[in-house]
Amino acid sequence: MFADELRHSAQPTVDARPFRVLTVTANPRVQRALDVVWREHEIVACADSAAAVALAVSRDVDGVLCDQKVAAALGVELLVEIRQAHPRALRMLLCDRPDARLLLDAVNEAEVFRIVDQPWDLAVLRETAVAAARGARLAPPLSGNPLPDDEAERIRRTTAVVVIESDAVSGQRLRDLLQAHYKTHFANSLDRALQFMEQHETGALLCSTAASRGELVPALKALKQAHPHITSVIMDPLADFDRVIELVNEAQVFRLLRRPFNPLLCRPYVDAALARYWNIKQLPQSAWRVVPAEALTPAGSPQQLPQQLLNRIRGLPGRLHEAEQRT
Amino acid sequence: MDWIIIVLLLVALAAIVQLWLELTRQKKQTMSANFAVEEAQRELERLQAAQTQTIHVTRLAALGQMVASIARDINVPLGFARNNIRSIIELLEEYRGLVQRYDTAVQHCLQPVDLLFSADKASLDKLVKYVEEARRKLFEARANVESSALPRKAGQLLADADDGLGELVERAQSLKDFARSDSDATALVDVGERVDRALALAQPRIHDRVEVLKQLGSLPRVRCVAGDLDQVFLALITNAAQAIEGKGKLAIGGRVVGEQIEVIFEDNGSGMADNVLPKIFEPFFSTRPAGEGTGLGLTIAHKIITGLGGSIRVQTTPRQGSVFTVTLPVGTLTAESADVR
Repeated sequence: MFADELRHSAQPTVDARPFRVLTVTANPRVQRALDVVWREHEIVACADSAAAVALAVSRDVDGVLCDQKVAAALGVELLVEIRQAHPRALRMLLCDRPDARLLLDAVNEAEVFRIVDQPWDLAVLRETAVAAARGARLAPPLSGNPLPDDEAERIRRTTAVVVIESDAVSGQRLRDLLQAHYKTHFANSLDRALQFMEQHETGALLCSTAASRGELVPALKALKQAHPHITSVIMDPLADFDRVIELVNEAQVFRLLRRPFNPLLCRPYVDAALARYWNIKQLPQSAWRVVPAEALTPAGSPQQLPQQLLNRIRGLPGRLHEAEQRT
Repeated sequence: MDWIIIVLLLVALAAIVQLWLELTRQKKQTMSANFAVEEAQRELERLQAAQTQTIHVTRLAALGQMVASIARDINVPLGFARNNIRSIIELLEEYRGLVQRYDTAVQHCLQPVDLLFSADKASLDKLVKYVEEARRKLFEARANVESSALPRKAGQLLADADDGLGELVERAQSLKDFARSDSDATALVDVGERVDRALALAQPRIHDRVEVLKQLGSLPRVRCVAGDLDQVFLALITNAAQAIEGKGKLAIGGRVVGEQIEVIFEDNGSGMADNVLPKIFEPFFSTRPAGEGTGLGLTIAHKIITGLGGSIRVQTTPRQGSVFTVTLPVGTLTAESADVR
């Protein structure tokens, strides 16, 4: 199982150079604290937002941690620029006051590896650096480009998109938007979605956090741990920022749709999710770039799920190692 | 003749009785009126107490709405301070390792001293080499201890933790001042200070989303209850922040006009529609979703300012913003008239 490979048995060999991380913050207090927390790594400190992108490229950093606001610039905008200029580096956003716009841009535009919410947990921050270094060193950057038309069309025909939506009106809107273009399956609960996924290879999940509320978040985490190529797009009212950050860090949510959702975004997001699924499937090593964090609290751990449900999630078909054997 | 006298006496007696009855009636009316006046006085006192209570409850409601933001405000510096302290513990542990290595080097240096007295030449040469190596190690270990950045880093982290804790103390003091209901003595109040206090209280709402441009200049003091002005300014700043979707600006200006001062709050938010404007000072009127406002902020602000002999004027343009102008009389208020509550 990929999760086991990721977490326990086969820790891959990463070259011995210290992790080189660019920290972009205009707050000297934050910089000093980061210097100490990450003292085992090589830190390239930058307080000047205008110089950050060039530094990321010239120093070939493995990761970038950018403050929510750096003087006049927005950290998330810098991360978007760094994503274009130096895609190898994994991106982390440091925030002390998240808001809906920030989270949407961080996920959908900057494709952040982690959101570090202040006050940070020292152990988690250290583990974040290690995970980012591993991801950046072991795997090439995942392409953000759309797939060629014929390949995209083939994937749309052969790979399922599972929609989990408990609201009948929204469900109907999504049917109208998606059914004609993808191999879709609509479910109003996690259980029904899994019944379908057990029979069909699934590339993308489009799910509302209102569905199967108690179990959905840990289930998404378990799914990402076991099947990192299955890519999720979440529909959420973005009222609970902590939960969104939890979903980003611990379930590696690929896209966020704010409810009530903009129908114009649905297909581009699903297309991008299928492309991401296919990229990881083609290059399993790149799954190291989407490794989810351990649950911050025991209550949020996938281990809290009923064992039977956990087994069903882990036992879904189309695992990465199967793809590896075929290729 | 006698009967005439008797009739006159009877008439006089009747008049006296009537007069007595009239006096009694009037006395009763006076007593009744006095009672009504007393009753009215008691009712007035009850209403004044209720109004004071309403203002305080509204203040607490505003406080309640800020709690979530404040919790985060408190959590960040507190977490920062705690993390720094934990890091310092780790740094000190590493520093202890450096000192232990220095001690080991010292011990290493001391060992050959015992051998010096019984040494032949060959042994002495060896010994010299040993001592040289030991001295090198000793100097290196000492240099490591002296040049270590760990104590300096620990000092900086402690200073940062202290700053974080200082912010918490300041924030707690602001909240305490705002929530107090017993600080209602009238005094000559610096309007600029009250605007600053209200801005500090509203910080969780405005943060870096709303750029505040403050140019109050030198304004004369106003005789009033300081907490009342905090409440008025907080209501106006909160109102402006809520009217701004995303990023925006709030300009706060001040000027003296004759015997009055004007404090102007101009935002570039959503403004108000024509049908909203006449209702904004009505109790429980709010355009915010349920749970986001009491609908009493501007009502109480208006009540406080008119009670001080001032006024609040509003100009608004939909999708462009609003201007709230608070007018207050300068220094002419007596303590009694200022004590509107």
